[in-house]
Parts: sequence; C-alpha cells; structure tokens
Amino acid sequence: MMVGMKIRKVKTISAIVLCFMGVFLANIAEAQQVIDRPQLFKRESPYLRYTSYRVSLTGGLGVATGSLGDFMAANTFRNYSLAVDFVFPKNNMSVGFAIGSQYFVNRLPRQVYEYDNGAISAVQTRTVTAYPITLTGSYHVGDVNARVRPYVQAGLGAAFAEVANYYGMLSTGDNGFKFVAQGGAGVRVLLSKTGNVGLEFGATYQHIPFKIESEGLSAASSINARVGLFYRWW
Amino acid sequence: MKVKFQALILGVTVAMIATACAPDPLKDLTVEETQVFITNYEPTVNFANYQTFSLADTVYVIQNQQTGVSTSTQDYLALDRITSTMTQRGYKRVTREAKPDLGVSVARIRETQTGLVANYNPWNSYWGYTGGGGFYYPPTYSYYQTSETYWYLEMVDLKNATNGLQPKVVWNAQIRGNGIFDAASLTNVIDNVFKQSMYLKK
Repeated sequence: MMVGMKIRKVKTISAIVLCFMGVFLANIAEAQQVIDRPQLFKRESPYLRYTSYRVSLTGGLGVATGSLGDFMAANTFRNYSLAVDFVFPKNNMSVGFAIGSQYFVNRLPRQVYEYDNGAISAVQTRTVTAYPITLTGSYHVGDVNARVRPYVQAGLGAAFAEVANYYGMLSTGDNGFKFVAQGGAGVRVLLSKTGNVGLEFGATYQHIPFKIESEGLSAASSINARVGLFYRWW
Repeated sequence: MKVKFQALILGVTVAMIATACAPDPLKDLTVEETQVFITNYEPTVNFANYQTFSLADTVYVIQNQQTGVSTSTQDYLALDRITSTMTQRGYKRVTREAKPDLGVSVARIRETQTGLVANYNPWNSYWGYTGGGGFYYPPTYSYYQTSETYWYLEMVDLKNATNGLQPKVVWNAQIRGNGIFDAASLTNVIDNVFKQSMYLKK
C-alpha cells in the first residue's frame, strides 16, 4: 500500500518535471525561432498578410468630351482626386471611395447670338463644375508588393454638378446632384521596394448624365488624366 | 487604426469644404465685357410698313413699382442717339398729336433683390459627430441685397392699335451690365442694340 503510494508520488513528480522540461524545451525552441534571422526574413510582408490601406492624391488634365466638349471647347488642369482604398492581400482587388473636384472655364469673345425672334450680344463665360463622390473597385496586375502595379478601376456614385453659361454677368444654366459612372486604368509605382510611398498615373472616363437642351448638352462626360502620390499603411 | 481613420475622415471633410468654395469666373471681366444687349422683335411685323415715330423727351425711371421721369444729361444723350439712329433708318420723328406709326419709349429700370444666406460653421463635423466630442455651432444668417439698373427700350405699334386696347409691342431692347450709363460710352451702348436689329428700317 505504502510502496504503491510512493510509486504513484514518483510518477506524479516525474510527470510534473517532464511537463516543466517540455515547456522549457518548447520555450527554447520558440526562442530559437525568433532569434533565427533568416527565418524572420522568410516571413511574408504584412501587405501580403493583412488588408492594407491606401490613400492617393492626384491631379492633372481634364478633357471635356462629347457634347460637353462642344459646349466647353476648353480643357482644364483644375482637376483633382482624393481616393482611399482597402487593399486586399491575396486576390489583387481593392475597394474604396474617391472624391473629385473638376472645374472647367472658357471665355468666349463678344458675339451676337441670334434666336427665333431676337438676339443677344454678350461675352459668354462658360463653366462646368463637378464634385463626384464614387465607390470604386479595382483589379491589379501583380501582387501587393510589386514595384510596378497596373490596375483597372470602375466607380459608381453621385456628383454635385453645375453647368453655367454667363452672358456678361447674367447667369443661365443648371445644377444638381447627378449620377456618376467612371471607368479607368493606370499604374502605381512604389518608390522603394516594399515601401509606403509611390507614384500614381491614371486616366478615367467619367460620365454624368446631365441634360441641358438650351445649351445642346446631352451629358457631362470627361476624360481625366492625373498624376500624383499614394501612401499605404497597414 | 481607429484613430487614424478619424483623422482621415476629418481630412476628407476639410478637403470637401475647401473644394466647395468655387472660384468666381467673372471677376476678370472688363466693364465692356459685362455689357449684354438683348433685343426682341415681333416676327410677323414688316418694319418697312411704318413711316413715322414719336419719342417722349424724358426717360422713364421705374423703381420699386414706382414710375417717374428723368431728364439728366445722360438721358438726353440717349434720347438724341435713338432719334438720330431712327432717322437714319428712314423713319420721321413726329409729335404725338400727328398720329405716329410707332411709339418709342426709353426707361431705366432698377430691380432690387433681397436674399437670405445661411453661414454654416465649417468646424461642424460633416457627419454631425466626431470622436473628439459632439459639438455644433448653429448657422448665422445674413441678408444680401443686389440691385441692377438697366436700359429698357420699347417700340409699340400705334398704326394698327385699337382704341382702348394696349398697343402691340413690336420691338424691345434691354441693355445690362456695368458702365452703361457713362456719358463717354453711351452712344456706343445705344448703337449696339440697333446694330443687331438691322430689320428695323424703312
């Protein structure tokens, strides 16, 4: 009875010792894994492991197209976009939103505009303003850390848009919230390998259904070519 | 990450407010470029059928639903120029008693508009609440008043007028913008509405 108890005690003690030994060894093994530098560098970049964030600020040329091109007959460099994206690590996709600001202006020299039973002589100042807010989705070629990463993008949203035609100082035109559809492509270039900052080049076609019959406008469409910088973090 | 996102949202809000201040496209217009000449005519009328016209020797001043007359130097300049242009176009000026075919009147119309504008505080959060604590400043309101004075020229058909009925307006012109009452440019300003109405001749 006594012997049996002794043996059981020894067994318990040895089990505890073994257990401690095991934890100790495991600790050593784990510590070795952390210290092992080559092993550390074999770990995937956080951008490949987690959803990361990207903000980009771009600006550049805006070209009015279609009936808006006929109405404006001018390009603009007052064309900016701020975009924020969630960049997914595995599937080459990102989703986000973009806020834009576009302003076209053109001054036409004095001219007599004839109509059915009269005429107006005036210097016309034509302006088109749009502040689009869109939800965007992008598909990229190459993985998240590729130095050069081309992409295609589509966006849907709403814009506050205004088309104004000033005869001297008398204004005519229309404004309001309109639907916006965008489609574009571009490329992002990281300034350093697996870095946070990069250059962005892209072009977007933007369609806003904005009809003003008196100005012969069927839609306010434009092509926006922008360059800028992006910053990403995780 | 949460903190960063709030900063981002705040930044976006600031950017939106900044872009909402649209530029003034008209600030670089010269005085001459602000001038607008509008003419309307009755297309069924043949202006060659009229022989004579009468013109009051004062300018009507219409302001806040009140009507008066004015005989300043600039008014005489305008009336003289209209008379000489009409004469050049082949019409003879006669007195009202001589039953003129056309009645020409010249008016200065002053229109005043009053509006109300709300000044929203730009420090209000766009979504009404930020993590830093919900604060809200109510908007302040201010009135603005704009007034514009412009020339209004009108020609009525007295030849075919029926007794007791308003005579038909066959031509009118509005001259609007800056500098349209300056004596130096008045002749040119008056001429412009006739230049774009070449059908107005005998």
